Amino acid sequence: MTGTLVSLAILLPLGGSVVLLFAGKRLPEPLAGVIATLTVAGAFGCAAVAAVDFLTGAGEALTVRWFDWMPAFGVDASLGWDRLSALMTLVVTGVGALIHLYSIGYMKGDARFGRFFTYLNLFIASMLILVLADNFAMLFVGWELVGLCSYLLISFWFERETAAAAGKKAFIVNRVGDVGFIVALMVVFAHFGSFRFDTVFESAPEVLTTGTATAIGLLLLVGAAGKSAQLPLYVWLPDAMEGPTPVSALIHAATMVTAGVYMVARTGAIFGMAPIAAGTVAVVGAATALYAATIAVAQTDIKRVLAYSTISQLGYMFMGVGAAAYVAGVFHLMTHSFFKALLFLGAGSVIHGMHGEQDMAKMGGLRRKMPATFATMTIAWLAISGIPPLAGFWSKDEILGTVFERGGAWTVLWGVGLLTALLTAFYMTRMMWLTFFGEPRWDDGVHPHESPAVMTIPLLALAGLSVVGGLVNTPFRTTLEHFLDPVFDAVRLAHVPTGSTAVALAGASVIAALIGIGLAALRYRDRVPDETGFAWRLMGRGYYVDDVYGQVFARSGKLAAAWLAFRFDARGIDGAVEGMGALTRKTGGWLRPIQTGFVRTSAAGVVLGAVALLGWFLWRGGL
Amino acid sequence: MVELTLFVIFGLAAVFGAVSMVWARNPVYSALGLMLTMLSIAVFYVSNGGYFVAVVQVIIYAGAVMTLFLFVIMLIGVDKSEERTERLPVQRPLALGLLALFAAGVLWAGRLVWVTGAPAGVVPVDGSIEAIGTELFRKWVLPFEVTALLLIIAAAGAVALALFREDGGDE
Amino acid sequence: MNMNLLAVAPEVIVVVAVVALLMIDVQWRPGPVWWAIAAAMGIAGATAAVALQWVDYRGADAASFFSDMIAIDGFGAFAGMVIFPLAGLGLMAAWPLIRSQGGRGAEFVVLVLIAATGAHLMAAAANLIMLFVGLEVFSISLYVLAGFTRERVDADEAALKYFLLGAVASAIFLYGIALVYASTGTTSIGGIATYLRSTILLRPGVLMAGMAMLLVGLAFKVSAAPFHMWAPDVYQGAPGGVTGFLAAGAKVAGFAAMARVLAVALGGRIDDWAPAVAVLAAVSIVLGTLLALVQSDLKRMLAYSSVAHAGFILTALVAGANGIPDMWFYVATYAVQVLAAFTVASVVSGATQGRAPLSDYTGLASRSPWLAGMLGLLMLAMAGIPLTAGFVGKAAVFRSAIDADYLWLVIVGVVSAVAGLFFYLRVIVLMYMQAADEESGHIPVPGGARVVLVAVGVLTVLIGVVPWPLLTWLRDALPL
Repeated sequence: MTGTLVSLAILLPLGGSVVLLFAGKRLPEPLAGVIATLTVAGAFGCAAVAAVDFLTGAGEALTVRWFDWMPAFGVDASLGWDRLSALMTLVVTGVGALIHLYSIGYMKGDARFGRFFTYLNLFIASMLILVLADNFAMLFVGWELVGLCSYLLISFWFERETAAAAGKKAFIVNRVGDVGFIVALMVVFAHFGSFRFDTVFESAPEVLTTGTATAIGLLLLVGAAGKSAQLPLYVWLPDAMEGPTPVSALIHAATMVTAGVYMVARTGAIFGMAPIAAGTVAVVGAATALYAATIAVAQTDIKRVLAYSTISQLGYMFMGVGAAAYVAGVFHLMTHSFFKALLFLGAGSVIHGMHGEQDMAKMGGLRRKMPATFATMTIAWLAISGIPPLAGFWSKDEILGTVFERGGAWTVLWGVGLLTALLTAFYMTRMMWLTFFGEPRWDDGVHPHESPAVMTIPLLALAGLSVVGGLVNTPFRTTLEHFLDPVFDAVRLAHVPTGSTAVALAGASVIAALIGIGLAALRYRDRVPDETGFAWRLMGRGYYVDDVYGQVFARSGKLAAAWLAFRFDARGIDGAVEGMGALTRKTGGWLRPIQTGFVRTSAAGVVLGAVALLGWFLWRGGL
Repeated sequence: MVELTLFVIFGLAAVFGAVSMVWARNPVYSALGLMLTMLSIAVFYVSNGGYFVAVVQVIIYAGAVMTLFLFVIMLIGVDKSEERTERLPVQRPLALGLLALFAAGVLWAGRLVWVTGAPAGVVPVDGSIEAIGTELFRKWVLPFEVTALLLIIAAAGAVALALFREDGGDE
Repeated sequence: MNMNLLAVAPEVIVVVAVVALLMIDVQWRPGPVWWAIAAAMGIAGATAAVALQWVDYRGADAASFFSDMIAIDGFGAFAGMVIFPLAGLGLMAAWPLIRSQGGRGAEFVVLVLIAATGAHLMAAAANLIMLFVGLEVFSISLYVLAGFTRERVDADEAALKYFLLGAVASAIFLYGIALVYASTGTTSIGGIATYLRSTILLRPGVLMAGMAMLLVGLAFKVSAAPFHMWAPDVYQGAPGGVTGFLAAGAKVAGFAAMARVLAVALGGRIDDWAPAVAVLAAVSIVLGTLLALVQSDLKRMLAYSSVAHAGFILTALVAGANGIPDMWFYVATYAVQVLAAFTVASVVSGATQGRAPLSDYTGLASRSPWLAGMLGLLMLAMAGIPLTAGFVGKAAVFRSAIDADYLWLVIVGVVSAVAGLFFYLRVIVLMYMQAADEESGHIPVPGGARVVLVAVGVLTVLIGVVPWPLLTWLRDALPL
């Protein structure tokens, strides 16, 4: 029974996307969206019913076998339903359903309305495969599909060149991370002979040495950093804003970026054996958190503020899971998905109301025109800033507390986290003030209006979750911790501070948040200060990292391609490859194409290979 | 000793013929070079007791194949000689170097003392027509028959390529 | 001499069909329909015969016949079950080309059928001489097919180039046979294996040189680097309709022969050749991927990608006989995919044409959504995206290599596979995310091509989602 429900949770959105793929064009506009939303809501319902057993404490983790997929690898197409995947499923489908609903309003009138919901449904299904996988191969399937869907969705408006480029960038950066992930999988298989989670995690202590575990952990980190946009692979996420806003919300809140955090939590058994790898995860997380927060401070585009904020918050989660505070990390993942989805959808509502304007310098005074958006955004703002008793406070505090409790060098990470909390409060307040307070600075002809109910209802629902979502795991009532305990049974969890330490730490973070809010409120209360100084420009451009990447990697890649084409295949030269002209002109005598199309050149290749092989075999034969 | 002398003389002749076939500018010389090689190889067959094969070699190659070659050369015109400018400057030294390496490798391999295979491979061969016929139509009948397929390809391929007309029609 | 007619039944049936077709054609000139009927009967009969071989002789029942010249075993039977249907699909895909050639079409059909026979002989041969004759039958047919449309000079050029280089490779292969014979005293594949198992060669120089030569000849056939340079020029020059069969057939036959020679005949010497094969695999994968990235012609890109795929398949062979089932999985699924991909190229760019510039595919999704969808699926499969047969194939060959302790090769393969995604996706992006030219309209898809594409599409997805029946099956596709 439970198994059927779990399977349905994936099959519903998957089926929805298939139906929409074939019938999407013929269905009238809202119907396609309604179908898509219903499938995701249905998936949420299935998952909720299936999860009831866990809540009552009676539920056991179970495996739902679909079919033998690749038996030679010990891999079935099967789903693992335990408390962690249950929680992830609920978050993905719950937030996903709200975003679907919102999209019906947001995408109204788009020429490819049906296609959009096809991708959206497929995105949810892929993410569910990822979180419900019970072996690395299925996880990889989900991982790949999520990457593919994000590519499709980010470049959904591919007529815009920036959107197409952003999709490509997301894809390329993710591939870089994927290399690490796949190599990690291969190393895992080489050592365990299996891809199954239970086999791998149970036998990990016997099979792996610390060195191997560290290697696997670091490789997994590369993969996780790619998907979850951590240093130095974060560059795709801000550009991913080019997609429609609900896509941004989906990528940033419920799906995709959380995959990395989930994967680290899931493979906790391996990271537990590799303190260096786990420490690296935490350091990368802390560095990313602070780094992205400083960039967010100087953004003028409302969505880019949120994008860098996501990177920063993901840094917190990494810090948490790296410190073996898996529950705290997953907890923050959950609360963050509530308020970040809310912030994005709210921003989308603002952009919708402002006729596509995204520059905060041209907003201001919107609180009267868009009361519902304003009210819900306010909740999200306070939640992410870490004001009790809203959701963000509890989860962020738990991460910071655990990191502090580990002592030693970890205290430095705690300090970084605290500073980030201050900055977070600052830039979120800045965003709120520039958008909703002060005098209107709208362009001529812009008449802001509140969005339709189909868009505000999801906002209200998410606002509710942002308020109460944190209460599932407070120092007074550790429901979530008990809930997730069986999953992390075998893993050594870090301790949460108690007593006066806990109170003092909580106090510190609240004070940091209040300082941040206060500073920003003072600075932006009645004017838009000039922010064109060197430091502002530096942070506004993200320390020019993007430009450097572009120059170094993209250009050298193009040159390499041109060189390759010219050197090895003069016939197949791609005229579109830039740099070709320059290269041709500079060609010296030595730079002659190898693949000229002459028979004798090919024959030379054959003989060259023959001589090399002959040499090898003779050497083996005892020359 | 006689055999060794014969081998050295005709081995050199075979190599010389092969090289001159590739090297000659005039196609008639090329054809003659090929003939020299074929005849030298026939001598090897004789010295190994393969009299029938040697005779067949002479008749088929020196007789039929060479005549055909010369015929074609005459039809095309003897005065046609190929252009020899090399547009890839490293090509020739590279080719010579590689070939030298290749030859050195094979010679090196042959220099090594090796245990010859199962005795079946080196029993004195009865080179009579009868023995060959028995071998060919008993043990090797299947490969022999399959070579007939090669003839079908040759016929069908030649017909197909020769029948081509610009308008795509046949005849 | 132990004659078992079942051993040669596939060949005999096809040859009977060929002779009948030629006779009827000369006598009555009945036209293409009758060619199709003759070819269909030949292929159906041959497929039935190999299926019968599979049923009766796979696994432990395998045996060799005709003085140990030809084997009936799971290996050869499975190869036949791939090759003959592949020839059928190839003919269907090439049908517009055949019809455009007038009366010469009959010869085209004949050549495809004979090539299939040669390919099956290569796979089923139990003797190196037999294998060589099969190789020549197969190769010479392909040389003629590559230059079949003589109106374009680049098709002539492609055929001539293929022929010259192929002759060099064949000569080297034959030399390898001679050297192996010199050191083992037999050309029987089983005999060589037995001899090498029971004899310690103190100074195996000649055997080593022979192994090197055999490897060169076979690596050329499967277009592994650095023996690959003919492939792009030949694939790009050959008429669109036949390129798919050229590419797919060469892979199946070449790898069948390679597995027989390396894993069976020279199986005792795996420590000598496996590192060399691993290096060939790595070079092919890397070079093929890199060069495919910069191509601007679909057929040329597919040619380089086939070099990379040859490398992936070689990855399975480093495990020796243990890798054969995985090799078959990859070869079989890849062969049909590459056939279908070239079929799309021939539909879009013209069946008699050689070139297929990528600009032909811009905005194909809006002009011919069906074709674009199929090509997109094929690209994903070749890239190895999960839930397609390509993914399972890659996973399978990588596992073989891991089991054989070639982790470095797997890592090279994985990284290249990731990089390779770009050129496959580039085609998809061109088709789906760029606007078409105004003047280009809908492209009609001939019936034969439609059948091919549907069949391959269904197989690719089906095997990708439920690969285990095939994987289980292939455990029996082992050589004698």
